[in-house]
Amino acid sequence: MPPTKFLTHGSFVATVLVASACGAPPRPSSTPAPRRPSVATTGDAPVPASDGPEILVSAVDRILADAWTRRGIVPNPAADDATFLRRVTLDLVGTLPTPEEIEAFLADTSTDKKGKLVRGLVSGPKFAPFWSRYWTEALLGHARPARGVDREAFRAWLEESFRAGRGWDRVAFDVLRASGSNEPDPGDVSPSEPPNPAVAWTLAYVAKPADIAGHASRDFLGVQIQCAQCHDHKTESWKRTDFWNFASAFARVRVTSAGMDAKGAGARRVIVEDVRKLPPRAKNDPDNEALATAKPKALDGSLLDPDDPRAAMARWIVDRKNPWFARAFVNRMWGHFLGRGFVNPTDDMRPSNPPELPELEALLADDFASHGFDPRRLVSALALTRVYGLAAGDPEGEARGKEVPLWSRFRVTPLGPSELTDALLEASGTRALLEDGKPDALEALRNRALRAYGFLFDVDEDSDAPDYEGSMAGALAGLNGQLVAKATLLAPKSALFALVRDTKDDDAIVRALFLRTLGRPPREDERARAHELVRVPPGSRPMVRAKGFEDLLWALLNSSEFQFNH
Amino acid sequence: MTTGTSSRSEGTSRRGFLGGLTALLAASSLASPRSAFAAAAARPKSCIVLWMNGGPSHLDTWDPKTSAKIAGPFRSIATRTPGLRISEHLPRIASVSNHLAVVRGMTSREGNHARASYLLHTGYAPNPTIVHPALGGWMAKLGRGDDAVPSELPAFVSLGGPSASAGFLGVEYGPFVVRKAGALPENLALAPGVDAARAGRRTAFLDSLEEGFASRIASAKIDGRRSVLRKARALMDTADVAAFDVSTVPEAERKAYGGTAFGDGCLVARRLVEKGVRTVEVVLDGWDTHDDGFTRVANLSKTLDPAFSALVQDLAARGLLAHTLVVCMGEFGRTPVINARSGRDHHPGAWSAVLAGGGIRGGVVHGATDDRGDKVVSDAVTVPDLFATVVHALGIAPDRTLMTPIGRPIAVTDEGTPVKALLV
Repeated sequence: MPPTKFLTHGSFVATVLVASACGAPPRPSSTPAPRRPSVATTGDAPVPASDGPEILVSAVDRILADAWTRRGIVPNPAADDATFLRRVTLDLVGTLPTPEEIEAFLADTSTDKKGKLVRGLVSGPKFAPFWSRYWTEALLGHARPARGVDREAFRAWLEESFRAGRGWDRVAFDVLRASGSNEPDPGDVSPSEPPNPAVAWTLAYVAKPADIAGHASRDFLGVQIQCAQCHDHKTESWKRTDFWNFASAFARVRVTSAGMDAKGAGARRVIVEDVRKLPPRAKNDPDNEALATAKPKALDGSLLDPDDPRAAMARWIVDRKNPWFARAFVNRMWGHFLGRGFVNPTDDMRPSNPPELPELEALLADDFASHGFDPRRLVSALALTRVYGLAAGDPEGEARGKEVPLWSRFRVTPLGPSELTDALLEASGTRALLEDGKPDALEALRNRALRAYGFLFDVDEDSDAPDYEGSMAGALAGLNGQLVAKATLLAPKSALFALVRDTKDDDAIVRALFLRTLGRPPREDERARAHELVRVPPGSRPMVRAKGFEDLLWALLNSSEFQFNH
Repeated sequence: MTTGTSSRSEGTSRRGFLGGLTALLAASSLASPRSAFAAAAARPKSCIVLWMNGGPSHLDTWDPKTSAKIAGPFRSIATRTPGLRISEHLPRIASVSNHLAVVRGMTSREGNHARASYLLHTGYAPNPTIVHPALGGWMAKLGRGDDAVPSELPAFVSLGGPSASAGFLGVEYGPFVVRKAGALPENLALAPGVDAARAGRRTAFLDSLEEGFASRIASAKIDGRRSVLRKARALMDTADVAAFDVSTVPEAERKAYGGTAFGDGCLVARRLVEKGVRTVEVVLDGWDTHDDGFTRVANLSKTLDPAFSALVQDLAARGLLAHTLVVCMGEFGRTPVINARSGRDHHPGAWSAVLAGGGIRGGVVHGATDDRGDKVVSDAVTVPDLFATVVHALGIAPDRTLMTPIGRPIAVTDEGTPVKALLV
């Protein structure tokens, strides 16, 4: 199954500086009569003095507005505040907004409330952990635990990198040429050389240099070269020799065992180091011949320093002049926020898969590269563009099921298994309850829930994320499964219990449950129906009253509005 | 039919009525052979995919060789098909080879598990611009025409593996995945403390939420999910779901299939097909034998042998074989060269697939590899051609196309041509 979640950059169009885009003429005043009220354009605002993300926002808005006009596309109106808040909180930090955050945002009347919100999320405490999880999954995938791969240490290292605001080129370089030990030496009281958690990526794939090469190319450059491993690429101009020259740069890595680690029987302590000659491989390994005759070369054919090819390759990959590195990241982020990258899939850039709107892609890539490859700047900008703030869906129902032209309607995406499970735990307050008492129980419950969505086989490859799009098994798990059942139970110390016990006013409880789950207050008709659901004869036992609220929470958690990012 | 019965019981009684009638007609000397045949032919065909995950070594199963360097330790045995010898570890299959078409000339270019699995499930090489539907997705979408065997069971079921999605067709045509073959699917029963009345109240509220949301944000994805929710609820209510559960099947019958999880899965597949499920995939994992290949393949063969043969015999005995196409295949074959760890590595250039039933010619060997099993030397069959053969036999035109959301027509097969020699 091709990786469906992340879009890929495909085109080999060299990065073109699009300074000219900033000097584009103002939009023509005579646009086709829109069926919806037009929104004041940011292109008319004065150019800000600073070089902040606002510049990027204006440019994106302008280019897209031009493109829409040229093609006669009328984009959706803006999404309402509650929808935007829920959406951007999920996309920037991976969680739902709390009722307090929702009430505050809805009540805020300042003109720059979205800017403040985004800046707060990006500089807040949840940003680094979320993106560390995102990139751990993207880089280490769902690989069977390989020798010495410490996912958590890798993730923590990434989190620290994001928290420190390191540029993506620094992070990528460190991952690509990581060496050292994966764990601290338990015997060494004051280690002269601290462990390097970044080696996890190399360790995950080092068994086959072809795999490291394929991953390096796919994850950092957005180029799918692994087809060329066995034969000349069917549709692109990669040859088998190109692949093996690229792969050989990663082949001079030796992994040696260094005894047990501090944890004992768990991840074994190993040392990763570069060596001058190819390490010995199994005699019948079919890769032997190809590697022996290859010369380390970058994807553009340039020879790499034979004394330290891995570092040379890493430098070539993250270089500002590398035509793919910045675009790969930009395309991936555009796909993350807008649902579909400039190129699809986002890790498949090639001439036969050209990007939509290449001038916009190039603008973003150039800005990214010229501002220290700062991910925070890029995502801050994307979150504040007009296109990201559009309403989802097609209320007039004309184009149901058809692909959306130029992102003119916001995409509707089901929450993935991890996201959904975490959202369930959070919205119901179960996470806090379980974390308090038994963190292992939380983990066990999470894993059980995830099993309803995914399947991993025992083959010699890592597998991409299971293709989850809303299966029947998943639906049944939501309707009758343990996780939702526990999450909606009015057990003592659960969030629902506290809510029902402390709040006499049914209306307040209904509002709180809607805010926690759907991120908005109930509509009038929903309020009325909710009250009917929870209404009990006067004098009923508290447990009877409780069941009505359990039912309400159950319905909210199983609703499409909850389970989708829209 | 009495009014007021649920659609399920109406369907059951109608099915029983029709079945009884057919039997009566068949028994009666007044019945014309044509009307009995027509009644039988009206039944839509089903497909059972026995998915050998990992890429089974063709040399150690369906295409044994004698050359010392590559043959491995297994001997070969004769079958009921003249000239066809297979692994000594598949004796029961050998005894039913009169039903089987062994395709030895399979060839493809995908040697990577993920890519090859995609190819063998969808008939297309992975393509960045589209997610192709699995065979079961096409069957679910296109094959609904005839309602002779109605059921609330999902049209596409996968036992013991994820199969592949229905891609651009939408989630409602995707597989219903049951992790543990032979057991009832999980989460069918209402949660503890929820009785039918309470379930009714909460479900009605959920439905009102769904209606409101769908009307505000019209989206095919949301429609798809609602459709899945409806099917999930229908599945909860149907007695046919007992077909998944082998615990009530007589011990002897289970033992005939081998008593393994895969064997149970094949038994369940037969029961599902009887109820009208259109596509069932049953997964046997573990064929990726880079290490210790011969021990592992021998063990896997001991699982495959009774299950596959019992399934074919059972379908034949129940008069279902003509309507049920069984396909046994994996992602690719394995190298003639035995590696340093007594295993074989991936080999997509030449491998074997086996077909049975559903309009496939039995007792046939089609295609051949060289004396090392390295290359196909006659009657090569590509994966698109295999798919074309299968869908044609199942009653779907191989060039039938549907539109994707971006308005691109995608055909059921990637320009495949049915292999006439395999068809009855």
